[in-house]
Amino acid sequence: MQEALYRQTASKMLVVCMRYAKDRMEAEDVLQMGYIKVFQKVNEYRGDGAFEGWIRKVMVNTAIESYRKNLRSLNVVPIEDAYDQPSTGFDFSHLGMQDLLKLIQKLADGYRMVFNMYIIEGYSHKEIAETLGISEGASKSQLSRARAILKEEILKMEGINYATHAG
Amino acid sequence: MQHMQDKEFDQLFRDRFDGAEIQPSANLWDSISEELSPKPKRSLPVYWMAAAVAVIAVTVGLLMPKEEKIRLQAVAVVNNEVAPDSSVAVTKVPSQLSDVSSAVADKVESTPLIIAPRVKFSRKEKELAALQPNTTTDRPVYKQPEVVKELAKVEPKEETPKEEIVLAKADIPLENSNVTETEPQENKGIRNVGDLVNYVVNKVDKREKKLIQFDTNDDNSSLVSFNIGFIKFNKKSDK
Repeated sequence: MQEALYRQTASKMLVVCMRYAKDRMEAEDVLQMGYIKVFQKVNEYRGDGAFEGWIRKVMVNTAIESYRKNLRSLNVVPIEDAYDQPSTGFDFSHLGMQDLLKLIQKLADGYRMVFNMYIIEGYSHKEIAETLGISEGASKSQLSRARAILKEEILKMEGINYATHAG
Repeated sequence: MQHMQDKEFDQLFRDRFDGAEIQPSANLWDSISEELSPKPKRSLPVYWMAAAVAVIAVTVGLLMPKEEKIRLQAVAVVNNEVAPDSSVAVTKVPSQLSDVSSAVADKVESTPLIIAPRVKFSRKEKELAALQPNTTTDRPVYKQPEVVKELAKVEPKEETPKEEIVLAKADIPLENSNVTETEPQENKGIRNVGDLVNYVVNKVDKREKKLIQFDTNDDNSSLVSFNIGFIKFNKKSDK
């Protein structure tokens, strides 16, 4: 029963964890902690909304918790090596999920948190500020900085792809 | 691209991640289920050690050779005068023998008491002989109660000369003369934890000031004294 639920949902949940984590190892650690919580708190599930959505919420909370536990400084990590594996497509619309995941993981931890929580999960800046213990202004500015970095990286990636293709 | 609206940009990310899947490592479920299955509770070794100590103490107490309760033989002549090197034991005579013993005690001053000569009895015969007075010999048989255990319980005020008899014994086991437990103490059996602790400590700790002692007169055992070398506490001496 538990294993079946895991087999059914784990691959989707690993993507959620990957977005919040620095690498796959960290993501799988969070995934494991998340499923432990899911099975321990399964009786807390009130049946409101999709069960998968509830599991996803547990995963996100676990990831945030993990981030807060080993809160690293918000120094901006250089992203020079963002093009190790260039995407096959050179059109933005052809950037795959894996490419975007790679870019998100290159973001500084704080930027990555805000970006994920606001854009993918749909938290408000107020909620993000309360959850991460920062000001709403900081949440907003980190989000726009994260967007700017990502756009820049995607552009660079497209340029390289184009160059590779043309050459 | 640069003039792409934030909304579109955000939507692109949402679309890409919607329903995306990455297979986790194959062994991840094993570690999850391992963590989920309740591990057998390992009770603290302290409790096992305490239990083991209690079991050992009780076993030692039960296996210890019981003191000979009945003495059918004694030295042929009993004197008031005690040899300097012989041990002296004071015993309380059981009440049912008080008539005999008082009679004996009266005679002691004048006539040497002659007691049955050493006879080798088998264990069974000894017990039988203990149950019945030896009528065939027509000599007073003096029953000596359990020496060591009684000694501990004898209260000094009860020692009236009438009930006393002084026996000079050369064959008393050495430990009898070493007994120093004179603290009044009633034997009510083991009724509570305090009694159990006292019993065990008495068996193990032969010092006058025990490692730990409880007052068990009331239902709630209260600490009376303890002695762990550098720290000593005695409720009675504090009074």
